[in-house]
Amino acid sequence: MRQRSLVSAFSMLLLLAACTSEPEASEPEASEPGAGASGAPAASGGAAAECLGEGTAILSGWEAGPAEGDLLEQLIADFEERCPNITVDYQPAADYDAAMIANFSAATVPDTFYVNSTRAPEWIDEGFLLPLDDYIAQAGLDASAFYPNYLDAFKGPDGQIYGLPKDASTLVLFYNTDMLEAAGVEPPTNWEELQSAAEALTSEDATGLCLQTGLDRALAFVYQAGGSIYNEDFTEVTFDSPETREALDYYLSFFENDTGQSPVELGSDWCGQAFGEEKVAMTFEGNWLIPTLESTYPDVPFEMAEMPQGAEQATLAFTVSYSIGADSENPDAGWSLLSYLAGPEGMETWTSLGLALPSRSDVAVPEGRDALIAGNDYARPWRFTSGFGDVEAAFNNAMSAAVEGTGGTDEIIQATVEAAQGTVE
Amino acid sequence: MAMRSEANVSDRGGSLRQQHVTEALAGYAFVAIPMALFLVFNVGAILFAFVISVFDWGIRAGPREFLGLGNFEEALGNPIFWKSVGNTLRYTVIVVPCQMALGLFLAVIVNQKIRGQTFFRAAFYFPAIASSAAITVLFIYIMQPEGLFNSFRSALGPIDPFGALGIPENHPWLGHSTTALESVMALNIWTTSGTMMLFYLASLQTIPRETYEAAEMDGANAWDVFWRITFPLLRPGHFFVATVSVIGSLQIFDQAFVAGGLSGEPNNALSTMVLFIARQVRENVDMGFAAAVGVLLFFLIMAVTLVQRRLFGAAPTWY
Repeated sequence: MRQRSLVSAFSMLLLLAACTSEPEASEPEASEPGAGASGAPAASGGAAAECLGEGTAILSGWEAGPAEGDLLEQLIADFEERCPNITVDYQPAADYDAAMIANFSAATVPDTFYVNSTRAPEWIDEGFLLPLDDYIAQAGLDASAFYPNYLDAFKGPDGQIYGLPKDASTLVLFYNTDMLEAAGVEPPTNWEELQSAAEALTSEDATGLCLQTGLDRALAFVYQAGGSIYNEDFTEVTFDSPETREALDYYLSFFENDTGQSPVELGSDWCGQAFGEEKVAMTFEGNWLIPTLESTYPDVPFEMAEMPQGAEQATLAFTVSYSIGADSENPDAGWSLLSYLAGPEGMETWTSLGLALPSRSDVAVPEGRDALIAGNDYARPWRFTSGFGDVEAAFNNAMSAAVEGTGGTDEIIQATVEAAQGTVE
Repeated sequence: MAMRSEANVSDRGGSLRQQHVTEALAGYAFVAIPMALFLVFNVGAILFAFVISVFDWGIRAGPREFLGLGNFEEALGNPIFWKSVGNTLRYTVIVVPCQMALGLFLAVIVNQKIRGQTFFRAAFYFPAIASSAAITVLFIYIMQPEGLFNSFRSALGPIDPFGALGIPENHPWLGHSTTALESVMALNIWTTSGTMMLFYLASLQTIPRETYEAAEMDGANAWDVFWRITFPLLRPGHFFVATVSVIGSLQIFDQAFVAGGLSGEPNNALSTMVLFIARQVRENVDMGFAAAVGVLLFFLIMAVTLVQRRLFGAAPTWY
C-alpha cells in the first residue's frame, strides 16, 4: 500500500517536472552537454541572462558558525528565486582541506566551493581549479570592482583568474577601551607608542598585548619594517634582511619584557579568546573576532584601530574565494551561483550582519569597521607560492622556540630561509 | 566422539573425502571475501604507495615525472623529517614499555577473584573507548597553565616533584617544547592501558590452572608464582601486546595533531612521522614525497617487528 502511494507520488513529481521544463526544452540547444566543460560557456535561455546552465549546483565550504549558515541559506533561496533552473545543494565540509583533497583525487568536485588564499597557489598549480576568464568575459563582469589585493590572490601564473574573493578582512589592533582609559593610554599609532602602551597596560591582572607566535601576525611587522619573504615574483628569498631582523627583534621584545604574551602562556586557545577573557588589553585580529566578542563576551568594551605604523604602513589581508573545479560536473550552474554570491547583491546579503567584510568596493560596509576597511588600500594578501606550508611551519616552530627562550631572531630567519629556499627552486 | 560423528556423516551418503572437499571449499569461499578486500585495500594500496613514491605525482594529473629515489633523498635531507623520526622513536621507546607494564599490572589485578571485578575491568577499559580526539581536548584543558594538573601541583606544595625539577607553577605542558611530547606520552599510556589490559587478560586465561596448582603444592608464594610462572608463560601475550603497541606508537598521529596542529608546534616537539606525511598531502599536495615518507615508515615498522620476533620468539604454539 505504502509502496504504491510512493510510486504514484513519484510519477506525479515526474509529470510536474516534465511540465515545468517544457518551455525550456523549446529553447534552441539551451544546455548542450559539454559546452561548459570545454570552457566556452553556452548562453542559456529561460531565466535571467546571468543564469547559465541548469540542474543542480553543489556548493561546498566550511561554516564558521550557525549565523553564517543561516545567511547562506537565505542567499541560496534568493539565488534559486533568481535562477529557477538551478537547485543548489549545499554541502559544507568539516576538515575542509582533507575533504577537498579527497574530492580532487576522486574527481567528484563540487561546482562552487571556497578556496583559502593560502591554498590557492597549490590548487592552481595542481590544476584543481577552472580558470574563470572566459566566464567573466562572457558575462561582461567587471572584475575591477574587487579590491585588487584580494583578486590578485587568486590569479595563476598564467594571469588567469581562478576564483572571485567572497569576503576579506585585514588585521587591525583591537583594544579594550576600559583598560586603556584606566591606564590613561591613547590607542597606539606607531611602534614606539605600541611599546609604551603595552608597558603601561601590563599589570598584575593583565598583560598589555597578546601576540600569536605565528607568521600570520608577525609578517605584518616584517612588512611594516620594509622586509619581505620573497621578491615580487616569488623567484628569490629575501627574508634575511636588516628590516626583517628589526621587525623580529621588535616582536620578540614584547615577550622579553613580559609586556606581551602568547596564547599558550596565557592559557587561551587564541589571542581573540584571551582578549575576550580580558587577560590582555590589546591584540591583532581581523573582522572574525567581532562576532565572537559580540556573542561570547558581550560585556567587553572594545574598539579597533589601524595597525601601528613602522617605517611603512602595512597589514595582512586574509581572503577566501568562490571557485569552480576543473572536474566540476556542472560548471555552468556553478558559475551562475558563483557570480551571484560574489556579485554586489549576494555580497551585500552575505556581509549584512557584519560576520564578514566585502571584498569589493561597491558594497556598503557595516558601521564601525573603518579601521578594517582602511587597511584594504595598503594590506598585503596572505598568499605566497606552492609549498608555503613548510615555510609557515618552519617560522612558527622557530618563533615558539624563541618565545620559550631557545633561539631568537637568527634562528627564526635561518629556519624560515631554509624552508623558503625549497619553494623557489 | 569424533569417530561417531564421522561415521554418521558417511552413513548419510557421500564419501568422507567428498565431504571434506565441500567443507574446504565453503571455508575458502568465506575466507575469500575478506581476503579479497585485504588484497585490494591493504596490500594493493601499499604496493601503489611504492609506485607513487618514485614519481612526482599529482593528485589530479597522476604521474608527472619519474624521480627514482629523488623523493627519498629529499626526505632524508629534510631536518623536520629527522626531527619527526626522532620524536616518533623517542615516543615509542618510552610509551611501549610503560603501556605493557601498566596493562599487565591492571590485568593481573582484575584477574584476581575480588569483589566488583567486572566494575574494575570496565573502569580500566573506559578511557580506551572514548574518542582519542575528544579525550585529547579534555587533556589539553587539564594541562593548561591554570588547568587541573597545575592546581593539583600547587595543592601538593613543597612535595610537588615537578616543582623540584624546576618546572614553574603555571607551566603550559602541551605548549612548551620540553614537555609537549612527554605530555602526549602520558596521555596515551593512560588511554591505551585498558586495551593492553584486555589483551593480557585474554592471555592470562590461557595459562593452565594445573601449573598454578602444582606451584601452590610446592609452596611458592605469590611473588614467585608471578615471576616464575605467569610472566614467562605470558610470552606469546608479550609478543602480541608489544607488536600492537609498537605499531600504534610509530603511527602516533591524532593526539599530536589535536594538541599541536598540523605543523607539530611548539618547536616541532609534536611533529611525528605520520603528521609530517599528513602535512605534505594537505598543505603541499605533494603525493610522491608523502608516499616516500610512508614507505620509509613502512620499513621502519617492519624492521622493528622483525627485531621483536627475535626477542620474543615465534608465534605461540598453544593458542
